[in-house]
Amino acid sequence: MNSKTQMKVMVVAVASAFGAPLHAAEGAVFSGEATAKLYSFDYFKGAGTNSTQFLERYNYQQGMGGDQRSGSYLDLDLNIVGRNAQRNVFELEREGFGAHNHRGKVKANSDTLGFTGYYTNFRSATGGLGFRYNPNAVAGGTDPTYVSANSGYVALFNNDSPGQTLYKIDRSTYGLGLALKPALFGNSLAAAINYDGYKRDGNRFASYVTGGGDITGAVTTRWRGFDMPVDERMNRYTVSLNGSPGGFNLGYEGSVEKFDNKARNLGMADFASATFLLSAGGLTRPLHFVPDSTLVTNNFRFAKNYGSTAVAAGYGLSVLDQDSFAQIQQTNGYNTGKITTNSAYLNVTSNALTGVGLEGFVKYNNRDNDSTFPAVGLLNAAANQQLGVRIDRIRSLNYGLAATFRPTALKSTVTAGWKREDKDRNLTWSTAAAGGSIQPQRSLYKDNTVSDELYVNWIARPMPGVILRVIPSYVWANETGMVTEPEKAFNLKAKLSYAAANGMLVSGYYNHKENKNANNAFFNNIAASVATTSITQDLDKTQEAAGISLNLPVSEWINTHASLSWMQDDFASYYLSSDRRRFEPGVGNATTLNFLTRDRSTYKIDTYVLNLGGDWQVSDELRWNGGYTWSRSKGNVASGLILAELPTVDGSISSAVHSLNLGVDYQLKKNLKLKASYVYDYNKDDSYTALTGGYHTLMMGVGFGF
Amino acid sequence: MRRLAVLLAVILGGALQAGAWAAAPMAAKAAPIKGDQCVECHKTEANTSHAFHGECNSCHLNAGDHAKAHEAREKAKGSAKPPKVVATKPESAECLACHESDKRRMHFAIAEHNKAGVQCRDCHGNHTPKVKTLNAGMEKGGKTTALCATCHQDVLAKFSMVSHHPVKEGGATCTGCHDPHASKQATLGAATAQCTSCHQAVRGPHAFEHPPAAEDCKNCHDPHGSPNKRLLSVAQPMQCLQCHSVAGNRHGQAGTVSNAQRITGAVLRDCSSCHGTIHGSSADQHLRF
Repeated sequence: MNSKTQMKVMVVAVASAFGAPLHAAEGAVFSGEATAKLYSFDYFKGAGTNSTQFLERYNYQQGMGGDQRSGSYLDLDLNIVGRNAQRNVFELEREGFGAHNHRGKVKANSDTLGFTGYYTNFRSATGGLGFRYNPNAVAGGTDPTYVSANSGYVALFNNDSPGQTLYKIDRSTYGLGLALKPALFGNSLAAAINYDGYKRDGNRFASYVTGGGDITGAVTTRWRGFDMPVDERMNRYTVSLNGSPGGFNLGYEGSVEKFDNKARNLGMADFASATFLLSAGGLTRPLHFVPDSTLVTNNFRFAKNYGSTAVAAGYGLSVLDQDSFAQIQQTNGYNTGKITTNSAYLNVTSNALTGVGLEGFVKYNNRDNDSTFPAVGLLNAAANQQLGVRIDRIRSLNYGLAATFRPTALKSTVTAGWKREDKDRNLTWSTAAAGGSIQPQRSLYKDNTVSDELYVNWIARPMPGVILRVIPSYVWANETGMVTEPEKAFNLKAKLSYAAANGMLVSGYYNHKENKNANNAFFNNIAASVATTSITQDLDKTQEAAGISLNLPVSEWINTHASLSWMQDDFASYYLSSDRRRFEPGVGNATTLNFLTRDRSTYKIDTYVLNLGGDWQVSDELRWNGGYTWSRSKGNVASGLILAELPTVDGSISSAVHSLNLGVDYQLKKNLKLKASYVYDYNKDDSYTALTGGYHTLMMGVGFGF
Repeated sequence: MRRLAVLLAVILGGALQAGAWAAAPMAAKAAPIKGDQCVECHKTEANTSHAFHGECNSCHLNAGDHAKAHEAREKAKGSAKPPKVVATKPESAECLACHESDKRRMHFAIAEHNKAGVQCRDCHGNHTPKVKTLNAGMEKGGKTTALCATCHQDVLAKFSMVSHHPVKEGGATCTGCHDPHASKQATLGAATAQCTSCHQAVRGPHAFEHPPAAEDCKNCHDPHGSPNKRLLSVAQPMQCLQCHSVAGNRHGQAGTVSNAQRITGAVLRDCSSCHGTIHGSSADQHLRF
């Protein structure tokens, strides 16, 4: 069945069943509210309509006249509930915040059936904001001093869509679900059929560099960007079955997910011109090819209690298939793109021992790359620059044990545990002679990861309303496959909260996460008979966060809250270079490649978030609410040699966003409510001052209750 | 094949319709709320969203003792009043007695929330919603996000960072990515599935894979929020240079023996401006197009 047929089948099935919950709603009492809203907005400071503003990236506004900087629009909120003596049999909700941010959902329920539906629409303009960082938009984004044959392209960035400055993408999600409740099957089985989908369309600014041999013209024509259309559809159909025969809980969930890229696939040839001359090879190059694909998953789950021991297990098989292929792939016989994942888990928890809870788990995951290999002319270990490394398989096994105690001191629950991760990768490296391959000694990607973790989870309730959570853990690895994996890590999460009888809630937290890895090195020579030297990458990444929060009911009618958070991202690693590309050392790859440590660059950004707010129920009719949020990020993204070279807009982060909101509801009559709100946002960017901008909006609404 | 499928769909729909019609008279009857005695005092709590929550003592196990004690206290005078009996709130185990066979809750016993001591009642208000009203600043985010944020303040703060998923703005929700009833020890499928269930365009399959992207999106991205563009956990170029060395005969250099020529910001500022297919490419080992 193609996706259109699947969709029709789903619509017919759901439409046929839809009458059932509606029928169950007979006799229900309906109540609700419809709120008509008028918004007036104004981007009072910042770029004009030919550029995307920072605040606009997640708040894309459009007035009734189509104006995106200042205007008005109408919207409607709905909230309807149908209720009989037993339950809510019908719920309908719609919320709107403009033409490009709205959502809705519907639910209907009877004893035997449940129906759900939803949709959302959200426009993001992050692509437009990203465009403002393109090489031609930033001082220092290109460098005319580059002139060599291999690097001269950096001197000029060629925008093939010069008139296009706005980039935005709409994501519309939608879905339907039909639940067949246990009452329909004598309480022995439950089933559900779900459809979920999305449409994603718009455009994004894509960039690329041609290979040196792809062009016949000037080297400065190699670096290019273009307006890339985005038009995607996803349709997922899911069937779930759950039953409890003989005390066993059994579950099955199967899904078919079809992803279609409906945008035209572009190639370098689409942009060939009098100045951008392509060789025969360049004419066949695709650009950012996005394949259609189908993901089929089958998951089985099992749970059973044996007295004080509980067992949970599951097995899953998922197959991701590529459905469309770039022309160059077809030409070279690459006709299968397939990733198969097998996964399974087993958990056993037991309270058989008095005073001690025990838990053990094993989790297995195997990812097989069943795609065409080799595809001579495209993807070939024996050919020059046709393979870096291929992941043939990744197999991981995680397992661990934990014990939980309940010491009386501070009314504590303490869990102490150990986990191990054992990951085994089957990798194929290039075998190309005459300088066309990266050898594993010259990569920081390795076959194995073996790490252990010890952790403690302590929860204490020393007095009524007080909860203390402290979770330290330590990881050490004998082998790591990537530098991003920790060779040593220390993590700590701690939180203390107090809830008073009068509703006051105060809490504070501290998180610390530090990963270190000095377990990877480049080797300058791979020949066993030649003495080798190595150069080690040494990475240290620390993330810290702390915060306090207070919810304080001043009176029965006034509630206030305040919170302050601090986050710090701290990172350091070596900036390494090699005198040639890592796959280039001569015949047989036996010659030396010289690596050099250029610098140790550090990155450190502090972020603060302050939040103040409250609401005041002045009378039965009148309620005020308000809030203010301030967030500030500041720091350098690099140090030393790199920071000295980076353009100002890239080297440091220094921005603050202020957001003020006020709202008021007034119950004018029993069935008539007046609403109003005001929002003021201001972004101040000291690194990229052109991104500074402000926005405010006023909403006035009338709610009709029934 | 298409006709057969449509026929099956109609039969399925008709069968369901019949089942619902059969059940409809029961649904229309007045619910037998057995907590009448309770409702005399607890009028607000009488509003439950589900018929099976109508029996107070199915969740408040000592509701009978509580009511008897209350009645005795009403009748007694002065110091002769018997002590109060506070009605217990339901533990997760009481909820799971009915809900454990639900597809999302069958493994709640090993879920992270359960291990952290979070009870069902901490999130679910069966009598009234946990989040009743929203301030103007959280209206777009919605009540689900507001509910999660009551505990996860550290995560909420990250949604105020320069780059973040648009959760507060209404473009995404916590439960769109996280199943609050699930356990990390019981996940099935690809390691990247949590992200690629929305971001299918980057999942490939790619002829030329970028290993960190194939293994785990979090190798490069911090999904809640980051000070860096594109949710990168470290800003470029160091995000890339932690794994890669810069080749001295490319990237603006001429390949001299000293291996230490100047590389300017035009090269260093944005690696993915040239290596644009950073998640994987259909045709290029160097992920340039």
